Amino acid sequence: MERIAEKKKHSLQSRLAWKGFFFVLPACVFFTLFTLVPIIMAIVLAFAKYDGIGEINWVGFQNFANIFKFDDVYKKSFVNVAWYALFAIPLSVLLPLFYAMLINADVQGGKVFRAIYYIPGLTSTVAAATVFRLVFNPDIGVVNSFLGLLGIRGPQWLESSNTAMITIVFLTMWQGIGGNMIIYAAALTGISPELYEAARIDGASRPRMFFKITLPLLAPTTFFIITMSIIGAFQLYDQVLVMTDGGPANSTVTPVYVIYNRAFGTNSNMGYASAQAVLLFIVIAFVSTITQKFVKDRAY
Amino acid sequence: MEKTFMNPKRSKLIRKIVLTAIAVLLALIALAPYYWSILISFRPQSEIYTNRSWFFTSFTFEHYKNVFENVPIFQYFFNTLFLTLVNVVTNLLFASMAAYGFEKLRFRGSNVIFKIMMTSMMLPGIATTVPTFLLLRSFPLVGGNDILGRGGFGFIGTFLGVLLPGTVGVYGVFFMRQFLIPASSEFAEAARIDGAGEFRIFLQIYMPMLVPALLTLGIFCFQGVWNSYMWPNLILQGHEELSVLTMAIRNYSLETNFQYGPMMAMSILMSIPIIVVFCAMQKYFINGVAVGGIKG
Repeated sequence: MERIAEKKKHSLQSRLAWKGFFFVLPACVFFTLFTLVPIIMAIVLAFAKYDGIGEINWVGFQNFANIFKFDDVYKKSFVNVAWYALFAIPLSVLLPLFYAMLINADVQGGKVFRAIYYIPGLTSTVAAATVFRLVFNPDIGVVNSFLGLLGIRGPQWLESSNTAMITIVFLTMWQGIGGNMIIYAAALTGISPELYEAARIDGASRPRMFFKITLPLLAPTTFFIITMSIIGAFQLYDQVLVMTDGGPANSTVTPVYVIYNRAFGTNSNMGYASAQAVLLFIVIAFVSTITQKFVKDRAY
Repeated sequence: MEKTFMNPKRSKLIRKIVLTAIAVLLALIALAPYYWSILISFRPQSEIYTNRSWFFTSFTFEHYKNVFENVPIFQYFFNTLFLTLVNVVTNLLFASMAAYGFEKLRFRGSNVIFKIMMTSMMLPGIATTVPTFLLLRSFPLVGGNDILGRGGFGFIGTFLGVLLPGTVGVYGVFFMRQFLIPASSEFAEAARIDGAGEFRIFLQIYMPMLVPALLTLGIFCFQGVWNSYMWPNLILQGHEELSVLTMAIRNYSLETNFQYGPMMAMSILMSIPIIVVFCAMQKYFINGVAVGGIKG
């Protein structure tokens, strides 16, 4: 009796297994066709010279060798990302945390403020970057207009290689604060009020509670935000395309910008671009692993 | 005595006022670029470089008129809407189906497949952009291609070329699975014993439980496709009549005699739909971001 039931259960299980396969099939087909196959193609193409129209010529490791030896623009794009990250990553932790604590404190109309802070993140990056070109326009932009009120002559923002990347940081912060703020706000409400109560009874000051309770308990969230910001920094494209088109003097070129132009711009070489993309992936994987090790050791 | 009694209450009030003042200031910063672009979009062309006022001292519709007369903005609007809606539907359907298969109908190897999919999220999008483009261009037997994918343009210059690679996103599968894990299997098992088909169980028992998750994922997908630029531009460039809004804005800014007025008008027009969707479904937006952060 028991064995029949067991057998029945088993056959139901295997029938379900077949059905399960059919449910995941569409996703698997598209994933294979538009992710797995392209990955393999990218790796193969990295060893070729191909302008997209003519013959594919196999060149071995020459693409990689050329990148390391001669490709100053591509190397510059990583330096630019590092500069960007130096400002953007601390800010994309500190500002959203501040905003989240603010809306979680008893501010009048907290939900309305939360919505307002989130709205810039909804706007298309192309539209937002277009607006920021105006905002940072030295003659008619609001930034220099405001600085003028304070008696400061504003810089040429987008036309100067010293300040162009800063405008990109402003844009991504303006768009990105809201999302990270909501993540922090959710994590903050997850901290038990009893911890603060106990600390208060022990006579702990507010800053002490912040550093000893809030920050350590937010560590996983902070880690998540840092990781996402790093990955985002390597993938900047729409922002620089619209704001500065990589200029002035390549001061805002990013890896994705360089790769895209190499593949689809003038003097196209899709093989070389694929080699650049493979290297980008290796760098991202390397940096995320390092952060993971570095941050996790401290956080937990 | 009275002093120590009054102080906490008063300091609490002061604290509240100060915090609210900071919140207002930050809100002004968040909204300033919108305000500035609206201001410029309504300022007469003759005054844009001369009038430095922060207020609406003069008012014109000329830039909006310019946009509606010179740019087929409605065409672009419907192109964008069509692409967005189709991708939202395919993503919701296939992602929830896959999540259901992975979570409720596990089979040998399903965990491995799921893990491979999740790992691919680390991949920068640009790594697959070039080969995906080549793949779509050389797709056999479409767009004038022969059986070996030679001779024509494949899916390049078509809506399908834009849509196909985004049919179902890996993040969507992950997201829907998070919501299926806690869902009870009791009703499904009862229905199975009654002989209900698996697809019916999925549609009639699980889908209703997943409505909030579907709305959230749908909104994210909507936002992503509506705002996307690089991929639609790569596939559709040179096909004026198929352009999307982001392409229109970018192309206008590349014109030699481009003006800020119409450009701001276009940017504002483009942002309105997504802000309307946000206001109507704020709860799902906020929950979705929070869930993504906590579970991701």
